[in-house]
Amino acid sequence: MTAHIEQAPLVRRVFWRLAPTRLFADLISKSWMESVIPFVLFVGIFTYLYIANPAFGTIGNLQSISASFSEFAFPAIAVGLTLISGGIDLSVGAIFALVDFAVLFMIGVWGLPTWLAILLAIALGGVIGAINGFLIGFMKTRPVLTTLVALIIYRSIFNLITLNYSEELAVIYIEDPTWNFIATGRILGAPVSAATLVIFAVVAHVILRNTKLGWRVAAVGSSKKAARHAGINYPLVLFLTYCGAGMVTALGAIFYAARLGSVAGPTGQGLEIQALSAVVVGGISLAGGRGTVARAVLGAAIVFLIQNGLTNIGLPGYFTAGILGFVVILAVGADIRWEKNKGKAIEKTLVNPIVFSFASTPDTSPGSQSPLALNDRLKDAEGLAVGLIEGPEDVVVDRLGRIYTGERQGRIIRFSPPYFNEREVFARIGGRPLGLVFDKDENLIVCVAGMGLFQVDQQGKVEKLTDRTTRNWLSILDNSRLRMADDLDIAPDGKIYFSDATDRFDLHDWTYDSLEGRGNGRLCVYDPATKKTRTISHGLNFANGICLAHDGRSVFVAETWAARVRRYWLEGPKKGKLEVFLDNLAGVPDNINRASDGTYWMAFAGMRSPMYDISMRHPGVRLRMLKQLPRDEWLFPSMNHGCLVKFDESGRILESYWDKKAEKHPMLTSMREHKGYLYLGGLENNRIGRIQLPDADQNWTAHDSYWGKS
Amino acid sequence: MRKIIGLLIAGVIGSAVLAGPGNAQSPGWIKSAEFEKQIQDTLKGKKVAWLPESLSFSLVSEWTRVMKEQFEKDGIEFIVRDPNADPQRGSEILSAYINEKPDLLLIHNPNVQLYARQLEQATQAGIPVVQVNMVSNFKTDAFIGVNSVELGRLEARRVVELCKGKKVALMKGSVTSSYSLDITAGVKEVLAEHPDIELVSEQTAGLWDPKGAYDVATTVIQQHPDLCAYMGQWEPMDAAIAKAAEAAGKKPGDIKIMTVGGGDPIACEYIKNGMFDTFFDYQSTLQGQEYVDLVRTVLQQRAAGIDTAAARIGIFTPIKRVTKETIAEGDCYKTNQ
Repeated sequence: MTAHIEQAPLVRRVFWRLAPTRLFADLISKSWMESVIPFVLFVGIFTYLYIANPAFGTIGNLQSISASFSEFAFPAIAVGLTLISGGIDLSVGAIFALVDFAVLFMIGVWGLPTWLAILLAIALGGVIGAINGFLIGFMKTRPVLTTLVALIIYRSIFNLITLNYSEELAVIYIEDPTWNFIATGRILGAPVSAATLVIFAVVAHVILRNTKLGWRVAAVGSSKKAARHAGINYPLVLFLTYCGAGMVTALGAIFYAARLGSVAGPTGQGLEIQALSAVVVGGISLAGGRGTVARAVLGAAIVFLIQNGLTNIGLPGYFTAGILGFVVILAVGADIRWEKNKGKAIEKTLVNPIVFSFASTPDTSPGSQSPLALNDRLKDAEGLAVGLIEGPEDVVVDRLGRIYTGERQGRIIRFSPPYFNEREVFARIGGRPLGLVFDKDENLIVCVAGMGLFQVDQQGKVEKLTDRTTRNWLSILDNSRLRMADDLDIAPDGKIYFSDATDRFDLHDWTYDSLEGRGNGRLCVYDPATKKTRTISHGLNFANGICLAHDGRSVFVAETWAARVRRYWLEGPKKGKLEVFLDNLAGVPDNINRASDGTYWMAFAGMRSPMYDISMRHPGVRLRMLKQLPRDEWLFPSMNHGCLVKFDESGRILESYWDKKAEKHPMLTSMREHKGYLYLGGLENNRIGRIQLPDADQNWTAHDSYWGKS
Repeated sequence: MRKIIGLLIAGVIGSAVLAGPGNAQSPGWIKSAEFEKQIQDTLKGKKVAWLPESLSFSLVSEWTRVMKEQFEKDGIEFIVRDPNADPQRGSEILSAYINEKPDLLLIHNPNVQLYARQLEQATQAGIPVVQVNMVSNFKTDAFIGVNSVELGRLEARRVVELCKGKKVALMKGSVTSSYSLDITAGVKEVLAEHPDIELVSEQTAGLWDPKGAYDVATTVIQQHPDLCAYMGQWEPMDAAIAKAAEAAGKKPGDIKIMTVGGGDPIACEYIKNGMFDTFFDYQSTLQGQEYVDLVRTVLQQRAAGIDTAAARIGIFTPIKRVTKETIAEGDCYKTNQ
């Protein structure tokens, strides 16, 4: 049948296909996007300063500001750490001042060797931080209050010390090669402090993101309670976090001491606020659990450049402070709005329909000569296990004639002949079991939506075969995870071919995939020999039923929303090709299975309607429908009125089975032939159907057909 | 060397000697119009970079106001960047200045250590540096400002006059600033000669913080109700001492409060109403003018090829003793000019 396809204009098709909103939705759901905005801001400010101030970009200036910046970045990282752990450290300024004093005093007055003084100074930072950590972690005091009080106490101690030692401090002059190197040395042109910062930041970033300790810090920051339930010793994690923050702050203070050699009242004063501004601007959440070292450094760079830039244009200091405060409020606001509305924004831009043009629907009117002509052959279908099962999407029959099916609650249920009225829980998998098939050794292989590919042995023992496949590198979202494993079949060499209906929507949102009509499905293959899974083809329009041809040389793949069946060649001259086999079907195809006479059964889960065809050509209509109408009023294939068809190897539809009055089997998603009977499944049915096939081979079983008589 | 110092004293006129030793006529013979042009041409377009401690101090903003006004007349580009009392920002600004190579750096040191290394760098880079009012451990081309040790001596001498055998107290500003250290040293130098006077307190107000001064003074006055005098180090801070005395039920004059500073309006007001006994005024408006003159001098000497950095000169600006009897219009500046 060749039908004329009414195509939409190219521009419209391309516009909806490109779907910038989809790009947007994909991008904002990536966690690295949260660093992109500060990064752009940083590049923007840097470029502006570079252009506006000719002196800014000189090597000398970049060297000197990078030294000064590094001294600021260390405490910013420290505050970032505590923020990620769900707390805050307001005492960094005072720790900074104390360490500044200590290291100068140790070298300049006590005459300790430089390296020893530096180690002791870092240890001092660690000890002061540990006091905070002890209180917050083990005594469970609140971080804001604790570190605020700590700030006041440490600052007072600092003031007391500087008062008593002011004369000694005023004349300290350290002439030591190591100390001078730290102060003014260069490593590859960068000040020692900047070089140290780079190395430190990379290491700390990796520790925080990729180690157990780092994950624990973030876990405690996200939810202390959940972390505790997960067995994390959160007091210890918090203790270590604050202790670490103290040491990191100390690093900054040591470089400061080396460069300026000065202890003054205002040393480190207000540093906590600047550092806090930095990390918030960098995108570390005040709510805890979210942030990286890179973001802390980025935020520090932004705040530093803003201050530097504003100071250099000669703005009085109080204005600079005010503008910085304003920037922080903006950043905090943005952080809160982002957290609150990100989900909504993704949801609003989640579905991105495209133009999909169907040819005119094949005739199914009763009395027509078409093999699809509406009939009532399912009128006398028996109902098995009526009311004992909920949603048998697929059914499979073993050699003893027992029926297996998955149900909505994630279990595999077995019914035994002759009455099929006793419900037996065969296995509990979870998820939503869909396609079922027996392998050569009579293990049940199951596609579970939301989980992946599973195997259940004859004793009912469940084993996961795979839950991920090779990702599509053109996709922004990592789609390696199987989202909706749907149906499967096994090739003679044992490889399991299965469909992943959509990689964008979960089972309960499968209707969205239909609205999109974009093709988010995949054909995958799992090789039991290597235990590896590979994506053969993506972009399939709701990849659904899978069936191996009788000769085992090709696989049929149903593409539900496209009303189409494809054929993937495993062998022969077309090996590796995926061709269109049946096109412009009257209904939306679901499962496909072998018939005893060398042909194939296929279920139409629903029939196309003219309205559905039109709506598929108008993405805007579908989008408005999605946003303005409840789900049950959407234009959709008529899912309550399906049928069974039989087709042969040449692609001819031979006959059809209808339930005209929609009483017995209004919805058909699957059928299995077994010893002269055809067993029927339906995604939303409360029964398994059975009809007799008097003309069929009364001894035919799928097992024999696949694996030979045994 | 001696010759160079000599030349410095001789100033601008002397520079002509170096300029043209081969001329038949001595180069000092210059017509007035030419001389005026020479001064103007030398100064015009010069870049002077000013690093104050914080523009939010009235003293500093008064200097800045005067300098801006004067330098504008000379056609000097006057760059002001405000670290707002943040040492780290101050050092950043100074680094930036050094990179930008202005014709002269004008530095207000928050303490003796902070900028010392950077000032050395600036000097090595050939930039003339003038330090104002507070001196660094590293001495540069010139220092100009009040002799802060002398301020302390003056305060203490007045106290010695008034409080024989009695208790006195001293309020310190920032303990690491040379200014505060110097005043303290001056006070102690004089008091050492008068062991009959007991210095009962020398606490700090924090960072020139009036609130801190108020708290400290309140405690000291409570502990020593018979306190005879209180020596301060900066007018707004010392005004808080007067307030604390008032709050403790003292009448003006019960405790003789000494103050020093550049002429903040509050000092004149408190002198008039008797809350301050004596004010040692280093007259910041005048100081600003003196800074300008020194900058003009150094710029012209440099232009003439004189190595001013080698001289490391110092100029102490005059201190005026202001009391209720001697107070005159103009002893204090007006804020927000």
